[in-house]
Amino acid sequence: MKVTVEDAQIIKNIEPQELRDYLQSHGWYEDGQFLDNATIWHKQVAEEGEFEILLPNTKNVRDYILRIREAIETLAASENLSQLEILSNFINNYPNLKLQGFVTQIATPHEYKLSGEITIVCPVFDKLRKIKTELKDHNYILAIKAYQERLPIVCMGDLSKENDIFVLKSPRSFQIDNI
Amino acid sequence: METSQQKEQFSNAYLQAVTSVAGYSLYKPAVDDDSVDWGIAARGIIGRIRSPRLELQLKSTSRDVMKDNAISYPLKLKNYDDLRMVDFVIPRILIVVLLPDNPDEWVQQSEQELCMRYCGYWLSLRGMPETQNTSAVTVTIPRNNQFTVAALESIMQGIGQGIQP
Repeated sequence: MKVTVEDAQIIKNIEPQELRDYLQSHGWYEDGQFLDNATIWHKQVAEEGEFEILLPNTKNVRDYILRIREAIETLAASENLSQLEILSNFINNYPNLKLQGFVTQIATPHEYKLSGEITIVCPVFDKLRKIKTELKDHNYILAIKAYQERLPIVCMGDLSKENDIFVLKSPRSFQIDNI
Repeated sequence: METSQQKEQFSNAYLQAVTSVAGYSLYKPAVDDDSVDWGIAARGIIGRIRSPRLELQLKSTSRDVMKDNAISYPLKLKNYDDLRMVDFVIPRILIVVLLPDNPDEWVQQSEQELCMRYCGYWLSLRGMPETQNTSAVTVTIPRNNQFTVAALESIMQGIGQGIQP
């Protein structure tokens, strides 16, 4: 089971304010301006030393992806976590995500139409997570078959996080995965 | 090894030599970027900034690009456009290392010295105008823009004072 993510797409979607909030709540302090387009942040970590992050003021700087990628690397090193675990804190809306996992729950179907909510368990950003999505017609039948026969599935969609629950919106290319 | 790879490695070695003597560290960018080959980071307070940084594109050539007072180097349009922009967090420069055509002449070594031929030159394209060219732009680098230890220190100190190269 795996999930594939376009890194650049993920990073583009991280707002500077989200990262700023994260830094403030994780013991980092702002240490002045870096030229015209960023602020410098520092954190002292016991037995590791001082870490530094350049936080762009806006998403419009041309090296935004480079700087955020660096920040993720630095956060992962300073917290002794994987970069994907750090990234998972910033997942709010990531389009075109390919999921590969198992259907673990079929909610009670809608009464008059062939559709309903299902739960997929798959690894997203280094952790197994439950993802809810709404399927209909042929895709819904496939999901029931996958659930009953415990077959892996693949599916594309736009992942978002709502009240700490992952939801896959606009699910597409849903199919039983031929291993 | 292809000659082009040899040239690239030699220019890397030149950059590493200058950066090491200046006491800065070199890093490779976290994301593959066509217009950034290396970054240079200083440690410790320089001016108002704790850790000044600079990123650069490194080119090498054995072509006859030397004129009387300047180097005329044809730069790909994409690189030109990437380097001339002003809205980067970390400033960017271009470094062109000139070297002899024959690799046997690149290094002269004895017990007393290691001489690398010829020299690297740096240029900031920041704020340069848009061009109508379709594939490349010939940039002019003054010969006194030699990429030396002193020049690098000066650039980094400038960044520390809030002055972009």
